[in-house]
Order: sequence, then C-alpha cells, then structure tokens
Amino acid sequence: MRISIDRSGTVEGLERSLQDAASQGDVQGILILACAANGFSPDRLDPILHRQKLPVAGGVFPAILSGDEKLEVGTIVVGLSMDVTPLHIEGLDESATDFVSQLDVGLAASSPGSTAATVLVLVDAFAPHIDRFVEAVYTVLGPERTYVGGGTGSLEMDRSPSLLTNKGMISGGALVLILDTMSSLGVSHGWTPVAGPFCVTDAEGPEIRTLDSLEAFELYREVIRGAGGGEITRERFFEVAKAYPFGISRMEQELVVRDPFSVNDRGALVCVGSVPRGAFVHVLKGDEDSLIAAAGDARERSTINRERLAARRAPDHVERPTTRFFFDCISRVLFLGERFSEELRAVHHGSSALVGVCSIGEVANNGDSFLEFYNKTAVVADIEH
Amino acid sequence: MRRLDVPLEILYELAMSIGNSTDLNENIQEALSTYLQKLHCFAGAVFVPAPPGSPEPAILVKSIPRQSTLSRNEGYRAAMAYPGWSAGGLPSKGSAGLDYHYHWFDLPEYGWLLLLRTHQPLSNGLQSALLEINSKLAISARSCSTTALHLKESRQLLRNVLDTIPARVFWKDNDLRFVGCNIAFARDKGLASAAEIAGCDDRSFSPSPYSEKYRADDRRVLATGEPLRDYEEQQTRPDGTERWLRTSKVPLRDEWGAVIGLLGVYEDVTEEKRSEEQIRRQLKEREALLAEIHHRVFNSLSVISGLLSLQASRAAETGDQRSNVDRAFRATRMRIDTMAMIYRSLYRAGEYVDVDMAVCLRDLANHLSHDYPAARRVVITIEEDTASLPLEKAIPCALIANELLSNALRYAFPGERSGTIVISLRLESEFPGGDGEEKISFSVVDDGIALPAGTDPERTESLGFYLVRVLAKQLRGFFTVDILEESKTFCVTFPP
Repeated sequence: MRISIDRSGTVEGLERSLQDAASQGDVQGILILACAANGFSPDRLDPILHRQKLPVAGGVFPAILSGDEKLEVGTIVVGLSMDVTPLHIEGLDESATDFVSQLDVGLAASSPGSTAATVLVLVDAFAPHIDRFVEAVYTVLGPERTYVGGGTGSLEMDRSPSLLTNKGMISGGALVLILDTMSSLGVSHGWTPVAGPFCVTDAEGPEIRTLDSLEAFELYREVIRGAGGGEITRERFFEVAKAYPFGISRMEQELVVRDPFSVNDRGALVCVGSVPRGAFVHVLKGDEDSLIAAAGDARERSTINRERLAARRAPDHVERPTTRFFFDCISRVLFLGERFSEELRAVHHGSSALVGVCSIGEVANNGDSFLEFYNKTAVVADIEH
Repeated sequence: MRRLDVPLEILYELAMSIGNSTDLNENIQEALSTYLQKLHCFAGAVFVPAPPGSPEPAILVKSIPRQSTLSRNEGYRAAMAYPGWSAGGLPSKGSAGLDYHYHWFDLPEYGWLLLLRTHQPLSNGLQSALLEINSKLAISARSCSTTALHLKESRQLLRNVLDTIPARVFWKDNDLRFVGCNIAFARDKGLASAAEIAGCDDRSFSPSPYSEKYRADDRRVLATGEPLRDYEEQQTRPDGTERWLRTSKVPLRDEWGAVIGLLGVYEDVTEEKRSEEQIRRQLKEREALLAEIHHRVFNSLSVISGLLSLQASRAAETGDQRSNVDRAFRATRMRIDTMAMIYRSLYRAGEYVDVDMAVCLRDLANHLSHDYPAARRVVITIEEDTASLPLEKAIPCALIANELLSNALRYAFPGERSGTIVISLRLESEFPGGDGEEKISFSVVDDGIALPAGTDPERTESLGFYLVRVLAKQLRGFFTVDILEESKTFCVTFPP
C-alpha cells in the first residue's frame, strides 16, 4: 500500500496525492480519508474525482489518524495494491431502497468480489437506514470475510456530502470496497454496565422514546444521578451523556454501544444508529483507563486473529506485510481528551504503518457473526498488502 | 436445576421480539436477524415442507446470508447433509471441521430452523430455552401464512370485482407513478395486463395531449387533499381514437391521515355524449321546423287578413261606408290579425310552447289604436305581472282581449271623452271564497261611459260578447262583468 499524507488539507494537496498514488504501477484503487475541517465541497472536488481512472472511495471524518498522530486538518490517500471492487450504494435516506439489488448490480460487474476476504464499508453516519443497509451487505457478502469501516460526516451534523467516489462527493449513501486480500480484526470498547437492563418499550430508528414505559430522558437522568454522574440537562446533554452510553446485550460478545447525542422536545434520546423496540439496554460507564485498555485489547485481538489465520495457512506460505487500519469513534476522542494520544499509541504499538479515522459509528465483523454498526468502539484491522 | 448460561434479558428479548409481525416475510427476516444478532450466529435459515411431488422434501423460505452466498460455507453444507427433516429427533446438532457448528430446530407444524455458529455450539440449556421461542415463531408463521392466504383470497376477490366493473380504476403514488389498476384501465392504455402498469406514469405511454392535464389534476388532489369529482375530460387511446371520460380522483391516506397517493375512477361516456349531441341536434332541427310552421301560419293569416282588408275597401268604395259588411270584415280581420300576432310572437321569441302575453297584448293594443280614434284619448295599460300562456290558451285569450278592447275603444269613450283601459292577466292562487285552486284571471277594466241600458254582456247576442262567452267556455272558464259607477270590469277566469 502507498500511503501519502497531505497536511495542508487543500484540494490541490489532495490532487497531488492522487496523482502520486495513481502513478504507482501496483496501485489498483485509492482510499481517501479526509478531515471535515478541510472544507471540501463538491464544486471544487467533483471535477478532480471525475478525472480519476482508478476506483476511488473515501470519506470525510471529524479527524484522521496517521501513526501516533491525530490530524484535524489534512488528507490521507492510500494507494491500494490489491484487486479492488468498489460498490456505490445510494438511498440510505429512503425507507424503500432495495440495497440488495444495488449490491448485486455492482457485484455483477466484478470478478474478485464474490470471494475477496476484506470488505471496507464507509457509510453516511446520519443516514436513517444504516441498519438495513448493513444487514443487506451481510446478506449478500456473507461470512468468512473481515468487515471494517465507519460512519462519515462532521460533528456539525450538517449532512453535507461526506462520501467521496468517482462520481463525486455524495450524501445519504454508502461505499463498499471489496479488497482481494486477507485481514484480521479486533473490536473492543471498554464500557461496562452500571445500570439496567431496561426494556426499550418505544423506539423509532435511532430515537429511544420510552424505557420501561417511562420517558427515556427522565429515566436516563435518574440513572446518571444514581451513578454519580451529576445532573444532566437538555442544554448540556452530550457533555454528560458522552460518559454514559447505552449497551445492547448479546451472547458471548461485547455489548453493542449506542451513543445518545441529543434529547428531543418529547424527551426521546437520539442515538447514532438504531435501537430496536423490545431490546434491552444497559447504561454503561467507562473511564479513561478502561477505554485506553480496550483499544489496546482490540489491537491484541486483531493480532491473535492474525496468528490464527497464519496457523491455518500452508507451512510454506510467505508472510505478507500489513497496514493497520484504525476506526475509532470520535466520541471516544471527545471523552478521552488529552489522553487520546495514549489510546492511539496503544493501537499503533510499534506497527510500521497505521492509518485511521475518528469515525461517527463503526462497522466491524471478523466473519464469524452478524454484521453490526457500533458506537463508541475501537475497531482495529490489520490488512495484508 | 441447571443454571442457564445466557443473560435472561437476551432470552426475554428474543421471546418478545420474535414472531410479532403480521407479514410472513418480515416475520421470518426479523426472527433470523434477531437470532443472529443475539446468539452470536453467523447464519440462519428457515425451511418448510415442499409441496407434494417436488423433487426436494423441503424448500428454503429465507436465509441470512442469502442462499447463493451461504451455500459456499462449509458449515452450511455440513448442515444440509443432515437436514432437520431427515434427522432422528429435533433439536439436532453437528459440526464441520473445527470452526462450524449447526443446530436444527423444529418449528412445530410449520417447518425447520437452522442456526450456524463458529467456535462453539449453543449450550444445551439455551437449546431447550429456544424450543419455546421457536414454538412462538412457528405459531406466528402459521398465522401469517393463513393471513397471507386470506389476504391473497381477498385481493383476488377485489381484483375480480375491479376487473368485472365497466369503470376504469387506477391508483398512483405521491410521485404520480401508477401503482395498480384494473384490466379495463390497462386496456385503455394499450397494456396486456394490469400488472404492467406498476412504475409507469402518464408520460410512459404513447404521446397524448392530455397527459400534463391529468398530472396537473393529480398534483392538485395530492396538494389539497381534496377530491375532484365527476368532471369530464378527454382521452386519446393507443389506436388514436378520442374518447370522453367522466372522472373522479380522491386522495389515498395512510393510517395517520397523510396523503400517500390517489385513486382515480372514470367511465367512458363517449356514447352518452354522442346521444346527447344527437338529441340536441334533433331538438334544434325541430325548433327550426316549428318556427317555420309558425312563420307560415302567420304569413297565411296575414294573406287572409289582407284579402279581407281588400274586400272591406271594396265595400267602402261602393258607398256603403261603415256598412255592416265593412265592420264585419274589419272585425274579422282584427281577429285574424290577433291570431297572426300570436304566431309571430312565437317564432320571433324562439319560444315554441309558451306565449309572452304581455308582448302580445301590447302589440294588440298598438294594432287596435290605429283603427279606433278613441285610442288617442285613452291610456291603455298592460299590468306588469302579466302571465305567459301556452299556445292553446294564448289564442282564445288574445281573441277575448281583441273583442273586449275593441268594444271599449269603440263604445266606451264617445266624442272627446278620455279615460283609461287597464288590461291584466295573472295567475291567482287564492280567490276570496274560492276553492283554493290556481286560476288565471284575464280582465279588461275601463272607466268609460256605462253600457246602454238593458245590455247584459253575459247574455247579449251581440257577436263580440257572444264570442267572448264561447271562447271563455273553450278555456273551460267563465265570463263575468262587474259594473260600478265609475268603471266596468270584464273578466274571464279559467284554469291554467
């Protein structure tokens, strides 16, 4: 893989990086990770994206990661040296979109897509039908692949186009990049239950309306008060709520974290990602140490999975180099503050190359379970090249 | 008792979440998705017994991932080698290699559930707990199947009804795309079946000058939420023929009242419009014919009147001025002129049934004024609320008016006497002391001199009053005279 970093965050800098990546003989596709603060707009970027001959996929994120460094302005361009099948999906804002058909159309034009082992997923974080889309991806592509990715967008939540494709900048969609290479995955978050479970008695999409038949915000406020989190108000909701996410139970797996980021006029809690009616949720709590430890744990799980992978291979198989991809939730960055650098170091941990993003929600699955859209979670993937 | 190694909230959530939908497809999809999410499974599938005669004993209803993807998986292939329908007893389980474990469960009286995991199989405790949840799923799936069958039957019935009625029925979504229609509508659009309409819009068919008008009406219904009822519009069929339609469009709403589309119904009223046009044309022809007849009657009467006038002039030339013959001719001519006036007023007004008696009486008064010098000193008034009469009553009534007005002008204002004559013709519903039935009252009132002593108009043999009595009888009425000191009222009362 060819990784170039443009710290200026300018369109011209990106164009130079794209030219540089495209000029490399072994590059078959390009991944762009850009900071929202770059201020990329379709009118300036689309002509450049249209000109690219190689498959291009990318996203705009609150921040990007390179080695031990978090950049809030700048662009990372990754020249992908394996066979790449890009699938461009639209209509995540509409309830009737047939995602399976769109994926099929994209796959029909590709050869390695049917068996390639790594799937990179970028999705507009504020689109309302992410869950249906994620389910469709798994229905079509199935197990025995590593899925990794995250939600694009900015913390302003302005819904401006945040996905980068050969067709230009888009919103309300998703990009699926099927990479014909092996990879390993580790997922961890470091949050532990302090109260619950509470039954989600009324919910619609990402909106939790009632918990145990009580107004969700009222119950949530009581729980936080009881857990020593102080007083949460509508005005300073996220300031307190970022330390008390929800967790949905699953058997033998990490809780799926749901991050409540606002409260609406009716007392409903609005999360990143949906919470189904009838689900049971815990209120979680974490501290800086547990989160940093979890990020290190995610890296370690990826390493273990990679070793398992190696063990299954033929004895004469030649080890290939990897690049570490890190999708870390932006709300972890906000929670950790100055100590985020420790989390980043815990994941980088001496690996030669690390690229990543501070995403708004994460997508992950190491091929042995249903695909999930997470919040507040650290996802580490070591991708061979 | 063995302790269950699964958080109770997961089991509770499974029990609460599975089997809640009334749609079979959604029900199975949600159940599989929940099992996969909660139980750390990587795949799941639901099978039902195949219909008799099928090569396979079972058919797949749904799987996550889909079958074409799943069939590549080693665990799935192992599970299908020992399927639930051939197993000795359920639940059953097995494994493939080190990594794949499969579990077959019975869905009582419905089918079989397959769950696939890696790393380790489901614990025995969990398998037992799932039996109850699977029973709920099976009951729900059976219920959905029955409901789906009933729904299918109901839909078929509705489809049959829609395809039987002569009206054309269609429905569209908010984007003005057709969602469905009946077969009559599909044929109007040149389609072989109603199913072909889905996804089309009015511009999808052969070019029509009316497409944009249809869409504008649709947009109006969707924007206002108000129906458009029974309006006429045109349609061009695929063969180029033009048809007339009587159309209604009503908004369709969801359970919360939001407009989600519209329903349109129209009838082909082309034949009806043609019949109406034909009747209108025939009526016009008959009116023209009637006008011509009335014109010819008027002309004939005018010729007779002219001949009588000529004859009267000849009698005058013989020196027998104002002779009885002259008066007879003049009186007869006036009567014929009166009848001619009625016919003229008919064809002039273009009204062939009722005669405007106000016009007619005014013409008569003008006409008589030329013949009687007294008319210069007498003010003749036609009262404003004069009624119209049908032709068969208008002629005798006008003749009565001619007699009474002639009499008044001839005898009531001798020498230089001036005065007034008031003519009225009105419909009266109440007569003092009467029977309450409607009657028409025609009267001529003058303030001229008294009748000669001993003259009783109701009995006298003079031709004028005799004619009045005869004509009153013809009208099934009666003639009365009311003589006061200052006026005389001659009145004919007859039913309308």
